[in-house]
Amino acid sequence: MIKGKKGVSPVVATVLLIVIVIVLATIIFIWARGFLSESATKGDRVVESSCEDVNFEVQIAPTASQCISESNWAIDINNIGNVPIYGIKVLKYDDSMGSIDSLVLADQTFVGGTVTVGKSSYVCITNTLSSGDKFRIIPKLLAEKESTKIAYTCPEKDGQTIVYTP
Amino acid sequence: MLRLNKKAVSIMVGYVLLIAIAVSLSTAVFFYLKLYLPDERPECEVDIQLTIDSVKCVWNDATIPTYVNIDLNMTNRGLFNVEGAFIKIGDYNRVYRTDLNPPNDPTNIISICNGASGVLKPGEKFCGDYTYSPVPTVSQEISVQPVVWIDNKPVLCPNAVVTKTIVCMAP
Repeated sequence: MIKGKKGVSPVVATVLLIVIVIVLATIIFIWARGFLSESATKGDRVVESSCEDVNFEVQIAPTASQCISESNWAIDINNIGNVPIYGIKVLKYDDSMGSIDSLVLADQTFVGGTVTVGKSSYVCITNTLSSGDKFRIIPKLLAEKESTKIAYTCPEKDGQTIVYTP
Repeated sequence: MLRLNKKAVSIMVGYVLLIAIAVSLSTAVFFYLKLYLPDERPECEVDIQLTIDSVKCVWNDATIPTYVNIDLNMTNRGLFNVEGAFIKIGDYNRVYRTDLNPPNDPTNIISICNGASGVLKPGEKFCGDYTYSPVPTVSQEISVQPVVWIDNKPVLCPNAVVTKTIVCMAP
């Protein structure tokens, strides 16, 4: 009787082990897949890393000859880094709030499309600006998420602050 | 005998499965973490330095100019070879710049003053002649950003940009 029980026990233990391993592996796989799908990538790394390498000069040009048909204002950009810049997100500082939650221009792309490395471009803006207005220019990069190209807005810390001085 | 054989196979299959699972899991974890780890991005050396010796901007016509000729002379005063440069021009009061050297060939310094081409070695001079239109109405700023090749990829040097303000004149 005891001998019979001993014979069955290793088989049951092995089956239990395999079942536990398979269940655990399935749980980890589903968890990891969900986590991975949240990360957009650029090249062979997550896009957040590329954002840290973005290097650009930016300025509000009050008398842009290219924007005469509009307000005559332009946001100039000069990409001096090694990461192409797809577009920008412009936030205006709200002095009364002490924050920059006032969205001025969203999903703004440049004349000629993506500003590739070493290139320069501009975007005409129609908003009315006042001297001393302060903006945060945040770069957007073209990234890939689940085989689809998306415009990824970099974290605010990777942007630049500029003040409009006519 | 038959039972013994079955046991032997089972253990072997168990080990193979274990090793296969361990290898595949570690591979998956490696590639997953590789995405998040900062890799070594190619960067320019600190001692890369181009200097603008002289720039001339001259109208093509004294009365009704349609474009300007730009004569640029540079020297590699750094400690490393420079394979190319983005040479751009624009209004002095704007960040926006127009390319002077061929847009799709920024890494090609083709007219080194001594007749050589390709790489600008330390101490060598570069002579470039370009045309630019429309004729500027305000002072211009010319900017030169060196490019070096690292691991078969062109790398821009953001900290080695040199600029010079010029006024275009009649011939």
